[in-house]
Amino acid sequence: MKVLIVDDSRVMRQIVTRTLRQAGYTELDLVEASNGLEAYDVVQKESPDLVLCDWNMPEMNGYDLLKSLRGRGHEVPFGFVTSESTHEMRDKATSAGALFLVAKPFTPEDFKEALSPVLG
Amino acid sequence: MSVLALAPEEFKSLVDEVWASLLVPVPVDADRVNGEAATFVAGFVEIQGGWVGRVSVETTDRGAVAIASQMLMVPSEELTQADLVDAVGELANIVGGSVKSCVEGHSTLSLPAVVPVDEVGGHEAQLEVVSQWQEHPLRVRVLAVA
Repeated sequence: MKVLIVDDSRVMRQIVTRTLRQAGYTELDLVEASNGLEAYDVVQKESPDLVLCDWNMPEMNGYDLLKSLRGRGHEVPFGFVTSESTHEMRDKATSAGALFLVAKPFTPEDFKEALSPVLG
Repeated sequence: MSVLALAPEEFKSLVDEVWASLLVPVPVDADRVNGEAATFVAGFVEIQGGWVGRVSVETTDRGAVAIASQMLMVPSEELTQADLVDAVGELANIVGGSVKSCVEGHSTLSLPAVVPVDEVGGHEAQLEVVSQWQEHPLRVRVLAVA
């Protein structure tokens, strides 16, 4: 399965990659993007099975990316991995079509719980 | 009007959780910031809402190299300046996001910035946690805008 990791921080993309492995997802095909605009193009080209996306990014934030995808009929499973996790943001994420919101800092167990409905 | 509902012990617990998830070995508590002779950098994010302030993560230049090396799993000699900015800024972003969740009412979080520590000033420190990671000092401050 292919997973797109979207975060403007290379450090955080690396940590997400490491945590996926620690959660037992060792056979994934991982692709990356550093903002929402770039991620939109990668979704078109790579057709990932899941998007793991930061919220607060330059160029286009994760929420606007999700709205753009859903607005154009893309139903790729989408989850946020973000430092912010207020009730307001969780409600916005769910209403926009996100499956989950994992708050930083996270553990492999957090990933397993959030991702297993999609990745098994 | 919004307020920051975060007690000192809650702030310390929040910071400890971030350290425990990202740094090995886990930083230990310190009474004061060591390394006064060294150059310090600060990664900070700004919270804007009814409560306005900054959350700042500070260490020495050498501390920033060690942190980036561990977070990226890259030898220190292969790191770029952008990697150091990214690592220290991301720490501030993670702590800042947790602090923001303790601000009542609507607020926003800025993207992180990294500056020499003196340039974070002009604010009143509301909360502070001082730690030591390996031989590197770490300080996290919540700074209300005066």
